Parts: sequence; structure tokens; C-alpha cells
Amino acid sequence: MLACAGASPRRAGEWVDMAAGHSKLRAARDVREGYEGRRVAWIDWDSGFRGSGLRVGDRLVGDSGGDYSPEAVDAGAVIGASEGGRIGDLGLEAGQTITLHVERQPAIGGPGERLSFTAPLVENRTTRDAEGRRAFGEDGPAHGEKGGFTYAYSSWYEKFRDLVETVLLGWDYTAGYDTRRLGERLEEHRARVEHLEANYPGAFARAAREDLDAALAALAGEARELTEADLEYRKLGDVRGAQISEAADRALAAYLAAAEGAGAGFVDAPFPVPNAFEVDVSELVGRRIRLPEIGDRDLLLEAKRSWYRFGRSQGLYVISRQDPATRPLFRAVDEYIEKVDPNVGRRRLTFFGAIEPIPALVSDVRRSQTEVALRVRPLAALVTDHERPEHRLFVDMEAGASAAEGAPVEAFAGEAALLAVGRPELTPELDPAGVMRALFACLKLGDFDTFLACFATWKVRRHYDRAGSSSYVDLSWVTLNERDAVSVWDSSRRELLADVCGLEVAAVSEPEVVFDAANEPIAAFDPAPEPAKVERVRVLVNHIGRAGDGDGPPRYRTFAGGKYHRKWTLERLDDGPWRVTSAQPI
Amino acid sequence: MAFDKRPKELLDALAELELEAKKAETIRRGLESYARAREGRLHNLLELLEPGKKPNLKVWLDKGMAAIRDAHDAFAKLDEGNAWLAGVATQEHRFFFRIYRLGAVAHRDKMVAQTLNLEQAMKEFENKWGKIRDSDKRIDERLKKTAEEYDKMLVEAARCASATEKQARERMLDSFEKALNLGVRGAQLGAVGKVLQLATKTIKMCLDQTKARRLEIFALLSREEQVFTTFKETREIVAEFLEDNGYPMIKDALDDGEDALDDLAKGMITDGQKADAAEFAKEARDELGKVFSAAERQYKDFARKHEHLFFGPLGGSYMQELAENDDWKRFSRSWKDHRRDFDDLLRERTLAASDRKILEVSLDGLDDEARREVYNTLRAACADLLKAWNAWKDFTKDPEWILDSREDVQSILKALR
Repeated sequence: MLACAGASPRRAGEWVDMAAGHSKLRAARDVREGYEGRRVAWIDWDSGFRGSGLRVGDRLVGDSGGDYSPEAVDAGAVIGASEGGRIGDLGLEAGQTITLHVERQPAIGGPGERLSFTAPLVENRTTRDAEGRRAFGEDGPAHGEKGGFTYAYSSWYEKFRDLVETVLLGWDYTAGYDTRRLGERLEEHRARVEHLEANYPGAFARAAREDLDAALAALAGEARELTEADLEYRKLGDVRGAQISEAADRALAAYLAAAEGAGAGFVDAPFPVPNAFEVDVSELVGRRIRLPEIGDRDLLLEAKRSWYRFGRSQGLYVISRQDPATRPLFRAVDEYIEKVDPNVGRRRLTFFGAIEPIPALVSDVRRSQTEVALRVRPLAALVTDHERPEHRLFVDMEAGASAAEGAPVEAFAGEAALLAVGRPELTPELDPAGVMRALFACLKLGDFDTFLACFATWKVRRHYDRAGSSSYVDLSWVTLNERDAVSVWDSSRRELLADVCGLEVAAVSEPEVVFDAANEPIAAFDPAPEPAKVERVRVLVNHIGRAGDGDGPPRYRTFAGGKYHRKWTLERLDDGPWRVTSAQPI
Repeated sequence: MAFDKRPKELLDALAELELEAKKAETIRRGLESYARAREGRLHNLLELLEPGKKPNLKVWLDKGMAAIRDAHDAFAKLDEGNAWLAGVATQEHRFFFRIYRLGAVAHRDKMVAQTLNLEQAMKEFENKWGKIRDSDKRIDERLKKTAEEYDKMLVEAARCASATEKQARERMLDSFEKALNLGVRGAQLGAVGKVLQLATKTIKMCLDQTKARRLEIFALLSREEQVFTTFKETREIVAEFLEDNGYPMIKDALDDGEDALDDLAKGMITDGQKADAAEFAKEARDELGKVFSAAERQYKDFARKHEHLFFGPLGGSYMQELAENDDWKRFSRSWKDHRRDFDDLLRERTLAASDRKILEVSLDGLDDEARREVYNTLRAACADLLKAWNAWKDFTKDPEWILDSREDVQSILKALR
């Protein structure tokens, strides 16, 4: 912090004569979709509208003289733009009040709230200090004053005002709005504002403080509570994988020890495997064996059966994949993918089983081999991720049979210790917010298929010709094809594991009809067009992230960033299910 | 051109618009170009309904989508058509959308899949039958061999018993005469004893061997049971397979495909489109018919090969091939005959020993001491032989045991008839 310079002496009562009244507002074109008009861009520090409740971003719709016509708006003949003529027409002077009528827009669009603010017009006077330098009011610094900083106050204030204007326009006005980065930039102005307050206490300093605080408040977002359950999805993958692997190792050791203790231990499956059609295998029936490890594609596929196969030239053991005893394995793997690691691919399997009395006659047509195999009933399995052997799970396939009726049964060892993450369900009756929540859940859980199903398979398009244009619904449209979906999917899931800890639907607009077949040329040709109507809603999404530093319990707040998409659109055909029409990551 | 009703309809409508000549000519050329492209697209789609080995649904959807997009874009370029062209574009969009959504291609794919499934399954079940038949044949050969060995033992035992009866009596008589006339006893009695002991040994050996053969037969029957159980399971698998790939399912796929085509023309907007859609449906029906015929042929081949073997009541010839009842009835009859022979041999009275009569030779004429000596010498041997023989008779008393034992195994096959 540089040394503060003292206040400059000024000559009292030195005014530039500007008797006409001014609003000291700046109006700019509002570039929001579907609106042609002007908005309040800035309220000067010495404007009579300071403290009136008028805000940056309010849409100007009229004043004491009535609502603005489109021509007036277009010509800029509104308060805050080319207002001299307007004020003159109203016969107002400095000191007299003017009422401004504005519309304050809701977050997601739609009709705004009409408000009115009355404030005095002020003189557009230039204040000079004792040295004749232009100053920010009677008690403000000279424009050229640096106060120990790099830039003079006039330059600084321009930058500060532009930054605050951008911030106060709201999260959804400017592209690339990044609350965190804007906050960091605003903080750089804090020292200057404090210098102002310390050395030039007065209207200008008060206005600067007001603006800084208002901007910081606008960037702060809203606090949110996120529970451990809300964040549990972040443990999917490596963290949970390690947890379940440890549980698998413990469970397997306990299982084998218990079997040994009960006199029912497992031996390595003997090879060669005798042919049950040729020799007596009765002494092998019931024997409990550990089969050699196989890949999950070591299968023998028949017309109506498929088998895990163990062994080749020295005879076969097989496990039927249609056997009800095998179902717990498939359920376990599905649950593991959903709750632990959605990225599990190919797997290695080690089975523990008992030899069955009836052999299996299996035929591999591709290899022209038909063999008599010993059938094994699976009792337990260790499943290992082929790519990452440190990830594994243990499945006791008899656990369901031995559990008390109604008692919950773990699909795999350690499952009960995992917190539920919540399944995405995309049902037809979901409202737009529900569809978005389902989409968020898909991203957290790794349910790519349901994620894809959230997107629309149509688009309302316009056909143009010289005479005009008409709309039609292209039912062949794919909002998100698989290739783009993978990219959207990957970037969204990366963010959900990085800065974004949660997502919520902040607002949903009222539905608007964007296609009505009755109003289009097709109505002349097709008495029952499909669809007859397409409705659209706009949805605003909040991203929730961690606030502050690592000390203390974590706090979460909503935030915005240049790469995050807050605005989404959904549509539905006739009264069908709502689907997302924005092809973008979160 | 097969699908020319709609293009003609459009050209007629264009003529009625009373446009400026140059504009009309431009649009007419555009419509003719579109008509040619349309014809090509419709034929391309029909080709996807032809018989083949691959599913075509995805290709159908891709081509259908392309046709839908072109239907609109083609007219967007003719920008002097105003609302009329926009309407035409929308109608053609609808035309191709209906075709795009046609379910017939999915039913075609189903019949193709059924054909391939039947082809593959035929090989699989043929291979399995071969294995079952060969394994059963090997088991049967060993069963027969074992049964023949069993038979041999029965014959050997009968021969031994018969010979023993004759020899023992002759030797006994000879010994008695010598004892009476010459006073010589010991050595002669020894010869009788040896005959009895040898017979006892032989009978015991026969008994052990028949027991072993019987156990072996039981073990082979147990393996045969495995084979039959596997055969039964294969029939169950075939039944499941035919639930999805049997003739009724193939016919259902054809019917569903034809039903989908029936509704095609109804969904069209203009008369020209309806006519073209009807023509398209007709040609599509022909193609589906060909696919059905291929599936039907494959099913018939499958049925010819496997009916009454793997599905339907088990045919008599297959039953005979697996069960071979005639052979076992023959064995049983033979063993019955042999058993009857045993009853006449080595009867208890023959081997009964007392101090007055042994081996049915009266000892009258010998003094008491001599009689006692004879009795004491031969008593044990007679008792041993009698015991062995009774054990033998007891073990072989039920000559139909083989048929009874096979009953359980055969019940698996009988349940399939």
C-alpha cells in the first residue's frame, strides 16, 4: 500500500455553470435475447438516482412523460442516453424530480416486474479543487491525483466503473462471466476504495464503497449445504475402488478360512478333467474347487446357452451363465459399476465352486468342438479389473440363500458400507427441472445411456424463401450424437470431480410455444400433423463449488465460470416428455 | 420409374400455378431432379429389405434420415416457389418420415437372425447328437461285453457244477467199491475231496467275477444315465431355442412386417404419395416374402434333421438306438435259461452228507469206522461246496435284474416319447 496523499485544497464555490438538469445515468442497448431496448448501464456517483433503488441492468420503459416508443428507444431519446431533448420536453430543470419506469427482469426471462423510481435531476457541474484541477466533487480527489497508486483516480475510476457495471449486470448477461475471477479483480480495487474513504471521505468515496460492496455481494453467490451423501459421487472410482478391494481381500480370506474350518475347504481344480461319459466321476461330485482365473470373455457360446470355460486340451470345467446360481455375480458387477467405478471394463474372474453330478455337453460350433465337461456350481467369485488389478470385488453367491428372510444382502463385500448415491430415473412425466436433475445424476453416476436419452431427437427449424419463412419440426435431428456426447460427457464429468461439487436448477421459465402446426403451411395439407405443437422452456442452472480456503469445515456457494453453462433449453412435442435441446457440457 | 405418381402429381400441380415461364421451367427441372433422386432413395431402401445375413435397421435409419433431410433441402434451393414449395417440402418430409419409421425392416432383421440362428443351432445340435450317440454306443459296447462276460460266468458255473456232480459221484462210487473190496480208503477219498474243493473254488471265482461284472454294469448304466440326462437337457435347450426361432415366431415376424406395410399408405398426405407408398409397400412385401422363405427353408431343414430327436416325441428308431432293448431282453432270456439249469445241478440232496450217504452214494456195506472216516473226510468239502453253490444261486436268482436296472435309466427316454 502506497503512502496516502492528503486532500487537495480547493477554492470554494467555483462551479461550471450547467443549469439544465441531468439524470447522471448512462443507458445502453440491452442485448438480451428477444428484447429491443435500453437498460441502465451506470448510475453516476453523484446522480440523484443513487440510493433510489434503481439498479444497473433495469430496462428503461418510460419516464414521467410516458412510456417510450420503439422509435424513441431506437433513437436513444431516453433518459440516460440523449436525454437533453427529453428533459427539455418535460420542462424539467436541475433540482426537479423525474420518475423513471423500468422493468426488472427475472432470472430466466419472461415478463419483468414494472417498477418506478423518482429522483431529482442534478446539474452537470464540474468541480475543481484549489489548484484548478477537476475533482470528483467537493470532497473527492482530483481526477489526476494518484494517491500513491500507479494510475490517477480518473483512470482508476473508469476501470472500476466498467468492472462493477459488468458485475452488476448479473451472472447471465455477459458471456464468460466468472464469479471467482471477477472477484479477484475486484479485490484489487479494495485498496483504492479504502484510500478514498480514508483520505476523501464524502459522497464519491461512499459511492465507491457502495459499488464495491454491491459488486462483491453479487459475485458471492448463495450459500448451499452439501451433505456427505451429496458428495459421495466424487468417491466413485479410485477411492471407493480401494475401499472395496480391501473389503474383497478380507472377505475372501474369511470365506476360505470358514470353509476350511467347516471341513469344506477348496482345492485347486484337478486336471486333466475326466470325461463323465467314459469314466466314473462320482467321487468328484460335490468336491469344492478353485478354478483357474479366466477373462470375462473366456466364453463358450451356444444357441441358447453360454458358459464360462476352464481348461482346453486337458478337459473342461464349465459354469453356466444362465444358472440362477450365477445371477448374483452379474448383479454384483452392475452394482459395482454403478456405485464404485463406472469405468470398469474387462474383468478377470476366479471362481470357487462345487462339481455338479450332471455333466454338461457343450458345443463350440466355430471351433467344431463338442465336449463333455464337468459342470460346476459357482459358490463365490473374485472379480478383478483387467486394466487395474488393484480394483477387485468379492461375491459370495450363496449369501442370499443363507441370509434371514427379508434381510438385506450385500451384492459384493463392502457394499453396505458405501453410501447411496441415488439412481437417475428418466420417467416421461418429469418436469423440466426433473429432467435436468436426472441429467445431473447421470453425470455423477456414470450412466451414459440415460444421459443420452435426456436429449431431444428433434429440432424446430425455419424454412426460408423469398416470400417469407415457415417453421417445421425436423424429427430426424439428433441434438447430441454419440461422438459429441462423449466429449460433452467427459468434460462434464471432469468438472464434477474438480471445481463443481453440485448442480441445481435455479429457475425455470414458463413454457412458450415455439411451433404450432396450425399456424404453419402444413396445416393446409395435413389434417393431423405430428407434432401439432412444440413447447420450450428455459432453465437456469446453478453450479455449486467450495468457497474459501481449506481451513475449517467446507463451505459451499453457487458460482459461475466462463466454461460453465447456466442457461439450458428444453422442449417437448405435444404433451410428451421434456428433453434437453442444448448440446453443451455443464 | 416405379414411384412416379407423386412426381406426376407435382408436375400437374405446378402447371396449374400459372407461373412465369422461366420460373416454371426452373422449378420443373428441380422437381424432375428431385423425382429421380427420390426414386433412387426408395429403391435403396427396398434393397435393405432383401434377404441377407446382416441386420439392416441401422442402415435403414441412416438412409431414411438422409432422405428426410434431402426432402426438405432439395426444395429450399428452389427459392422462387414460395409457400407452394414449402408445402411440397413439408409433404415430402412427412412421406420419408413415415417410411423411416416403418417397422418392416426390424421384422426383416428378425427373420434374418432367426435363419442364422437355425443354421448355427442345427450344427450345434447335430454335433451334440453325434457325441451323445457315440458315447452311448461306446457304453453299450462295453455293457454288452461285460454282459457277455457275465454270461460266460454263468455258463462256466453251470459247466463246473455239472462236471462236479458227475465226477464227484463217479469218484465216490469208485472209492466206495475200493473201500468195500480192497479196504483202501484214504487216497480215494482224497480224490473225491479234491474234486469237491476244485468245484468250490471255481464256483467262488465265478461268483466274484459275476459280482464284479454286475458292479461294472451298474457303473456303465450310471454313465449311460449321464448321457441320457444330457440328451434330455439338450432337448430342453432346443425347446427354449424354438420359442424364439420356431416356425410360429418366424411367421409372426412376417405377419408383423406385413401389418406395418399395410398402414404405410394411410399415413401419407397426397394421393400421389399414397399411390407411391402403396407401390413401395407392395415391393417391400415381396422382399419380406423372400426373407420369410429363406427362414422357412432353414426351419424345415432343422425340423427334418432334429424333429423326433430333439423336439417332438422321441422317435422309435432313436429310442431303439439309445436303449437297445432287444439286446437286453436277449441277455435276460439267456440268463433265465441258465438259471433254470442251476436249479437242476448240485441239489442239496446231492451234496448232503451223513454217515449213511454221501454224494448220493450209500455207505451201507462199510463198517462204522469206515463210514465215520468217509463222513469226516468229505463232510466239510460237501458243506463248503453246498454253501458256495447256494451263494451262487442266491446271487443269480433274479435273471431279469439287468432289465430292472435299465428301467430307471430308460425312464428318462420314455418320458420323452
